[in-house]
Amino acid sequence: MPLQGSGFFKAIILISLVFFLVAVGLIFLVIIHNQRKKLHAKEKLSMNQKFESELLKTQIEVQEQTMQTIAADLHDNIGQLLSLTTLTLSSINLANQQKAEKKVNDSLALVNKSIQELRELAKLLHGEQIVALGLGHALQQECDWLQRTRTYQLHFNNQLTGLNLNSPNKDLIVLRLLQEIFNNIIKHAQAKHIDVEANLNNGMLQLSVKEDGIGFDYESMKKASPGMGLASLQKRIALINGNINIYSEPKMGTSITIEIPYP
Amino acid sequence: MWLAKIPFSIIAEWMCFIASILLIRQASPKFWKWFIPYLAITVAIESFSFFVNRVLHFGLYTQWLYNLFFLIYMVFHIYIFYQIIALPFIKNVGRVCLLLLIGCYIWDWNSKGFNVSFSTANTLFNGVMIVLSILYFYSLFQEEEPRDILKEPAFWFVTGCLVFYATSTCVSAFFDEIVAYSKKNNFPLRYVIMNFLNIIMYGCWIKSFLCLYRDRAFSRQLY
Repeated sequence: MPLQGSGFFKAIILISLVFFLVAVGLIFLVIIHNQRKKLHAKEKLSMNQKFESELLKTQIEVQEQTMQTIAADLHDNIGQLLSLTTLTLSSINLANQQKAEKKVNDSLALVNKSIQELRELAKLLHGEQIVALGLGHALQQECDWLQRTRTYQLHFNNQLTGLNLNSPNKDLIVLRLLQEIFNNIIKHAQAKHIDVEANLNNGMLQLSVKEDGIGFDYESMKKASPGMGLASLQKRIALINGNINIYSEPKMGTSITIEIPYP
Repeated sequence: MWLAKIPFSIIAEWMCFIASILLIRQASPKFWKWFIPYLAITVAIESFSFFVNRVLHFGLYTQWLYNLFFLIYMVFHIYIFYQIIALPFIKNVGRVCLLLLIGCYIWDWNSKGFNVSFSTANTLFNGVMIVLSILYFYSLFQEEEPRDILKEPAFWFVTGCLVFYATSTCVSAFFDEIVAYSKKNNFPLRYVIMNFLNIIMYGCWIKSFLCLYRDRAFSRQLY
């Protein structure tokens, strides 16, 4: 009987020990899982903060570019118009009523043109307001603005008009990207034809811009100035989980395709 | 000296009871305050049984008292679990568990009488506690926002319960046999295991009271 008793005790102790270890193991598992969850949340928070700071940086860059656009537009366009108005007004000879009336009318026309240009500039700068009407409309307006300069033959295949979807943050980034691409074309490309296409397929928004300008060697450009315009484009696309493909060769023009999950 | 005979489990219960008075008198949420009367009843019954049998050697059979207390014991534990598990179906789970346990309690009473340990109801209760502990952990997994669970009073309460009830399941299931073998072999196996588990469980409960006290002190600092 004592032997039986000791065997029974051993069995009880062993089973109890197994149950004890299972319970303790389960508790440790919960603690470890919770620690990982906390770590994951911490990483997510730090990534969010990084994203916010990148976004802020990009916004500052965009603001800087916008300022440059304003300065250029004020100087080259509105400034010229107002200078011309001053000249016209200062040359008025009140003794010659007929000529004076014509000059006043010319000045009025110039002032009106200045006002119109100012309105166009204001519209162009007020991104949030533009995208409020939809991305298709905003891109269309941007292309119309470029077309009005009559420097390029621009063809825009816009399949985004009448789209009910929208994503204000992404819309603004896409609009600013197109503005930057156009700025680059104006500054560097020496292009004559520009083809723009925008469409939405299976939750992916695709925007492509092709031009027949002087082109460039993309790889050497990337190495030479990694912090400049192209890198800025890539950084902004990465912020909205998108892809950008840039294809360019000297004298062969440039083709840029952007893909982002949308909305 | 009878003081030397006091089991560790009773010392742990008393320590937990004193800790509850000192630390959770003004605890929030208020359901935690139920620990004070519950622990008061627990230490009163355990101390009374120990005193009349081991000190005064009256040889009173106090199992009926434990069986009576078992009702409070069941309701209290299920109520606390019901309060701390944040799952939509916990109300129904609590009701089913309580019905099953009361059914088993009546069945034990009917088949064994009131002066014998209700080992079936006890074993079922252990199972229910394990299930509820796992449900609590499941509710933690379900939460999107991570919390510092090592500072959560509920976590320490459940940890103590899970270790105690999972390990004592075997002891409860073979209660009658262990008592018989212990008498024959003069080795108090159940006493040793239950002492060890009581120390762990009440230790965890004291930790949960400390967490509650810390929360209260922290919120007092904020206001």
